[in-house]
Amino acid sequence: MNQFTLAIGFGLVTSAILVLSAVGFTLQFGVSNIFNLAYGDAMTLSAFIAYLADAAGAGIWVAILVGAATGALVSVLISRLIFTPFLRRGTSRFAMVMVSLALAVILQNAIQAIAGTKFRSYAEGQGKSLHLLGMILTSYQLVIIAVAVASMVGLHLLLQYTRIGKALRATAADPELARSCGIATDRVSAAAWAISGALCGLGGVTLALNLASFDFHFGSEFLLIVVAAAVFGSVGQPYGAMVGAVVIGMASELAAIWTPSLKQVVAFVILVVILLIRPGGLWRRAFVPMDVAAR
Amino acid sequence: MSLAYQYYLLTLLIFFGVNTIACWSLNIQYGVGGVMNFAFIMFQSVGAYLAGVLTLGPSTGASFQQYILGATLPFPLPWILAALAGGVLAWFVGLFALRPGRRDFQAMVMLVVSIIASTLVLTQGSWFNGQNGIAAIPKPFESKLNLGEVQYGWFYAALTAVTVLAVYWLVHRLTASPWGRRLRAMRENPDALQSLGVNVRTESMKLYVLGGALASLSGAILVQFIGAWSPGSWATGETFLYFVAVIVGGVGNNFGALLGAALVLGVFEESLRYLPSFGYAGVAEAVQFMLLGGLILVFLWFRPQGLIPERRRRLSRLQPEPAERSQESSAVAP
Repeated sequence: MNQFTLAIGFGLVTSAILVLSAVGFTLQFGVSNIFNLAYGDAMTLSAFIAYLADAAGAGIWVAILVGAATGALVSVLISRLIFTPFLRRGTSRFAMVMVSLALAVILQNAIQAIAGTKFRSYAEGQGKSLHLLGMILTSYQLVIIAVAVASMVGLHLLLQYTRIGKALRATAADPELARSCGIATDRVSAAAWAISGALCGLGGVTLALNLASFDFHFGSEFLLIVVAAAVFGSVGQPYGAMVGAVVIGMASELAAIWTPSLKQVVAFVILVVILLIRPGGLWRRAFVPMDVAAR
Repeated sequence: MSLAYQYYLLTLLIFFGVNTIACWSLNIQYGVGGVMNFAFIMFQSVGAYLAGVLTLGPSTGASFQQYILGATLPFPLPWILAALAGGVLAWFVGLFALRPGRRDFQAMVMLVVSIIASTLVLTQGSWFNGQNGIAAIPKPFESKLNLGEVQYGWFYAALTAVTVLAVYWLVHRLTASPWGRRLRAMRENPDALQSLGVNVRTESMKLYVLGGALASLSGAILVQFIGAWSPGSWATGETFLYFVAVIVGGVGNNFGALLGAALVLGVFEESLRYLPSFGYAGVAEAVQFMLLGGLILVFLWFRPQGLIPERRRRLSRLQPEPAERSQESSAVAP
């Protein structure tokens, strides 16, 4: 068995989880212009609610759906109840980062206070191991890859071929212009928060499924790599985030062949290099407005 | 006053001094210049680690801890070198972290850097003794002075106080200078400043290096008092605490930062010591952090300028005909 092909297998799984999470994160940024640091903890929360469904005997597919629904609901609530009122009040973008950080701290510690610090696992465990082309993957890792591929194809079709997808891209590119073209940007942004929240939930459940056991802060730990993938692919650009997720996911697993403890450091080195070459990230048509006074 | 209370009091005072320097460092970066240093705690720990190993003596390998750069330097040198190291590290991080055009992008990159640094220190046990951290760090002049623990504590508190005053003088002079005005302009509207021929990235870099050096100095003072430093001392949540302190105290105001250090890092943190413990271990701490999160939301909603708002600066002194233009002389600060 070749170590290299094994690592590619793990890289595929990591990339799949990262694709789900990073695309959700970047979509939220695209439509709201806010770095939502509570994203990682929304992933944790989704995984815990999915755990409840799973422990009640609902099965893994229902649990995944429950996780996606939780992520969508939490994200819409965060946006409607916290972010939008603060923005309407004229809070600067500096302060919005602090708002999302405060939310992340509240959410994570609430999960800890309620669920405790012990590790949990889904009832299904790891499933059977399968040998494919020199890779060893469990059946649930195949499920993770399938969920990621299906979600990305679905998102691509949605963004390119539906009215809501086109409206969403327009809103992300220039909200004021979109509004003056007759797009109900409020509703579009609610839809974007729901879609990205569902991806966030999927990311959380698949990450928890792959980790075998999880506690209250696995999501916020993973957020670091999610941010790296999103910044790599120019924040706000879903296709950039897909590329970033695959590059960082594969690179960190391949690097683990020789230094298992430095997986995260590889993600970081890639991020630094891309920032030095292209400060705005990889995506060529990146629309990254410079800092102007609070908008 | 009994010795135990004296020791408690002077511990609080030294922590207050350290936190004040830390908050000034963050305030000059975030409050005055608008640079969101989410890697703040990394700079504090660089100072702490460096001041530690520079006083511990060479690592023998036989001892319970191993580290690099071991030396036995006389007193002010470890602090000075720690501050310099913080500045150099800030320069290095700033090279790439200050490249993105938006401040919140930069903050994300710094957050990543901070977490990666802590992963590196954890996994590379030969650097600063990994998970266990370094301990038994000697205090300056302790062996020569031959004082009791409490008396020495007062001496160290005085040493801290002198440093705090020196840092205040520096920070005050800088924020009141034309450079300080330039920084406030950068915070308010970097594009406009850039259009006036000021290189925003260079100014941000100067600010970042200065803040990094001050943060390291605060770490150096802290570590020589508590005598130990480990990755547990600089979880990313600590950066959040310092931001809460600066925002509650008053963004852009040096006395606001001081008040925030006293209220949030002193009174709020200390008061939990006197609450009855409840639930399993860790619940009280979780609730404390939820309260801090709530506190910052409340402040950003009701009083974003903090308890002591930034002083409104009048331009009249700079204008040629104050009598005619007094109607127009307005404040720069928001």
